[in-house]
Amino acid sequence: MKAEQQTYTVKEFSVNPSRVIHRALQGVEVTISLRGVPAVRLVPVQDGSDQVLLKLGAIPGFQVAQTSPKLARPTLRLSGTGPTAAEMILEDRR
Amino acid sequence: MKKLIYLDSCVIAKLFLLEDRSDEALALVNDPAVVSILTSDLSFVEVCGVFSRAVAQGRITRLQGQALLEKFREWFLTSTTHIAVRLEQITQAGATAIDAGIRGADALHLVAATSAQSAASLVDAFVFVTYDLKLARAAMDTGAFTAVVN
Repeated sequence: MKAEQQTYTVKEFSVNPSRVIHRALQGVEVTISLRGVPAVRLVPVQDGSDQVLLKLGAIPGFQVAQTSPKLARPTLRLSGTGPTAAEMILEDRR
Repeated sequence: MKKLIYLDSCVIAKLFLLEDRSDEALALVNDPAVVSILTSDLSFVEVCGVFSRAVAQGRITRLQGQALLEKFREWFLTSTTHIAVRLEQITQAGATAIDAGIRGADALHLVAATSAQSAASLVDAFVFVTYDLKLARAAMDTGAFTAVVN
């Protein structure tokens, strides 16, 4: 059976890239066209992670991450004395 | 190896303000095995509350607070799988708080994390991270997680 195909313009893609990527993860052959000419094809990476993200996205209320950049070490410290940031959260819950 | 990790807000705060165990929290989220970082939308409010309190107490400047908020907001919205606080979660959290003897907000985090269980069956490890001992114990008791970091 031939996979469903869908073509998006760059403008359509940029409006909601996450939705287009999810279409590709669902098995749709997604092509992005540039000035009316097919230019780029979105192909899922086959390491199983896409399936996990797809499953997460299917759970009601879950907004799946679009990127996974490495976080840099924070540079800012709270000055003076008092509770740490983590302690403030735990205090606020009391 | 593929992992999902759920972060309690007290862990997230350490990713944006340098303090004890910040490096450990950073290593957890930057682990290449992590497929997605999960947290509740409640975390957004809780962490913003810390920035607000820190500004109010003069422990960071208003400008620093605004910069922190912007950086955190960007990361939260694009790089976490964030879980909406829905009515059914709230009612479930109420019951969990009583059953597990934990606070309401703790229960809400626990309910949010366990709601990811259907996806967790596709990964090798599902890790719950909190620096609150009571919440960590309650998380362990659910049996839903491969590991609980405390």
